[in-house]
Amino acid sequence: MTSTLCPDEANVREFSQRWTKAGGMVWEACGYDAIIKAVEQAWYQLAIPDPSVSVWPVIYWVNPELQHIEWSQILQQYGPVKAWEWGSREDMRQVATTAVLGITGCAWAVAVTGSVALYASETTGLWPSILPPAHLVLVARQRIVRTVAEGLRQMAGAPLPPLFKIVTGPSMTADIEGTLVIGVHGPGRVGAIVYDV
Amino acid sequence: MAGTLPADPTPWHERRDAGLSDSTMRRTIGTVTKRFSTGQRQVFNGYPEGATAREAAVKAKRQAIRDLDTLLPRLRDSVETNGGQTYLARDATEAVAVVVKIAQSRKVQRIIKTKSMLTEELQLNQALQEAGLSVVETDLGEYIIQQAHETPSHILAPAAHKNRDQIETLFRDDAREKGITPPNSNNAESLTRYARQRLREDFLHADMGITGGNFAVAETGTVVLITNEGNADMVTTLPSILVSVVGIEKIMDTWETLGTIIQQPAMNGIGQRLSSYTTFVSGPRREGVVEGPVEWHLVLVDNGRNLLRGTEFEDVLSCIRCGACLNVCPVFRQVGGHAYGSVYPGPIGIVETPLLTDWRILPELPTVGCTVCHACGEACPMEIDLPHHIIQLRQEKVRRHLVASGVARSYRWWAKMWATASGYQRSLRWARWGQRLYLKQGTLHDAPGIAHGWFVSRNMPPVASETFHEWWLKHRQGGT
Repeated sequence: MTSTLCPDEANVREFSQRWTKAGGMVWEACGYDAIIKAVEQAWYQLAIPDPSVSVWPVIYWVNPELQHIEWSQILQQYGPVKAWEWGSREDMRQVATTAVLGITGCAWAVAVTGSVALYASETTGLWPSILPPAHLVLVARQRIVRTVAEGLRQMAGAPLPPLFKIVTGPSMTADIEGTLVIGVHGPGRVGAIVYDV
Repeated sequence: MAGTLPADPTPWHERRDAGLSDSTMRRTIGTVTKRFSTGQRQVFNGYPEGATAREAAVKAKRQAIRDLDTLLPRLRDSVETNGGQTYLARDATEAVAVVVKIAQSRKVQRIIKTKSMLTEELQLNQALQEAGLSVVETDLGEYIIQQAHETPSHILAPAAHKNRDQIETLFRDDAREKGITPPNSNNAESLTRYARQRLREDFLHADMGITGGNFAVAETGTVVLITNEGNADMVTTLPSILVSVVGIEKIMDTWETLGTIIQQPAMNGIGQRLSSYTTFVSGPRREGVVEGPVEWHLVLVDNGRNLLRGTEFEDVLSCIRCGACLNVCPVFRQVGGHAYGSVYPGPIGIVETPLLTDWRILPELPTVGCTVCHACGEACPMEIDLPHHIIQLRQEKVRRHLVASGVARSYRWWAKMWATASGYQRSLRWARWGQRLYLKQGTLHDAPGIAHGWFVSRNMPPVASETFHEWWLKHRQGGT
């Protein structure tokens, strides 16, 4: 069968299907207003803060094209949120440990596996994707490649980041009687906003 | 140089009977292996790229094993250029000594660990604990069996032999000892939540992390770790010292070939296109980066692996520890992993255990642990010819005089008898005469010598009073 979709659209569609199959949620957003609306929807699905706690910390970093958005102001509309941008404090580890939600961008994403790749660097961290109970990843549709091999190939030729990872769904285990349980050490709720600006 | 592996000294028949009478283990192993093997079959449906990548991965892995002499120094160079330190351990003793020395020289107190079959092989935890160090397994299944002071029963599901009541008891005991809130029920969610809270403390306070490695890329100096729980992400980002203990057979040559094999453990192990977390370590953290270790040590371990290179068993080194051969093995699914007595159970364990140790431990495995049904050969994504190897090992066992002399003599006699038609017919006549001693209600209940074992758990129809050959001789009346 010949697809009438341009490669970009086909990748977005397959990424969304596979990410959902792996246990994640997906929102698609075209333009800044749509992104902000998707973030609001994602917040109510992913972040389930304790209402009795006076401050709901959020830790975040985004890709350059979204850095001009006032993330703190937007997130404060949802409750007593204190949003910490990656690198804004010395103790990012402590912030990530107490955060109710981690928001990250990604270096690239993979359609056929429904995965996102994150690098550890001065401006982009891994803890927001693993220490909080929920993770929201913002994926530029242009960054979605078809296969893992293509994604890895993009990294060839330049020094690799000392640490990076590919995330494909929530943290899970079936170690107790083969029963699938979501949210072992990492986040039990993961979502992706696939955006186009 | 032969490697050393731990071995259960309990005789095979006792290990086997313990497995067969453990209804909890058999129920859980049945569920787990069925889900994994079904998942493996389904994941390739409608995904031809996965099958193409698998074929490429087999070739790449075979080539990497052949090129190990050049890839090993290349990997060490790459890691050291990236700022890591490398060590080559010839056997388990050397490997353990390196890790203990790293920990002691840096005055480490608390160690967290990811699941690694190699560190089980090396008995690393025992050595660290004997050196006064606290080491905590962070994979949920490994954490459970560490609490129970047991060994893994499945390569991917180490606690598959324990049920949730047993796990709840372990966690309640742990909570009492630590003075913390125990799990509030025995359901899997509640027990997992308890482990999450308990291990989160260990993650945050550990000063050293230990990982295994699914792959190591010589070109880039990268160790790749695959988990579903995310514990490897904790172990690689939180402690300031990281030690990765990796078998030399895990080396891939280039970043490009890594792309062909990276999905295979998840696809063939649990039926997913990729595990939840694939973690890449290529060096210690750089200036200005807050995550990752300040020191990264890569311990490359031989422990008998080089013995297999250049032999007819070289393909065994291609194993990616997906567990697919265990999941389809009718023996494994009945007796479970502990019955094998080795760190490596199932068909791959039957082959690897004698080969890595030059037959020093568990020589009975190739004989007792296989029905030669060939299911493992079909399931292995790396096309390791496990059934053929098991037959070869049986032959090798005879050559090495590792078979009891009475058994060897009986088989020789049997083979001689059945090598000719007249011998075969004579043996039937003897059997018909001899079976009268063991017949009860028209069924054969026992037999002498080595045949006795066959009747321990089953009966057999008697030898027919007249075989077809005998009937034909009487009735052919000159026909052909």
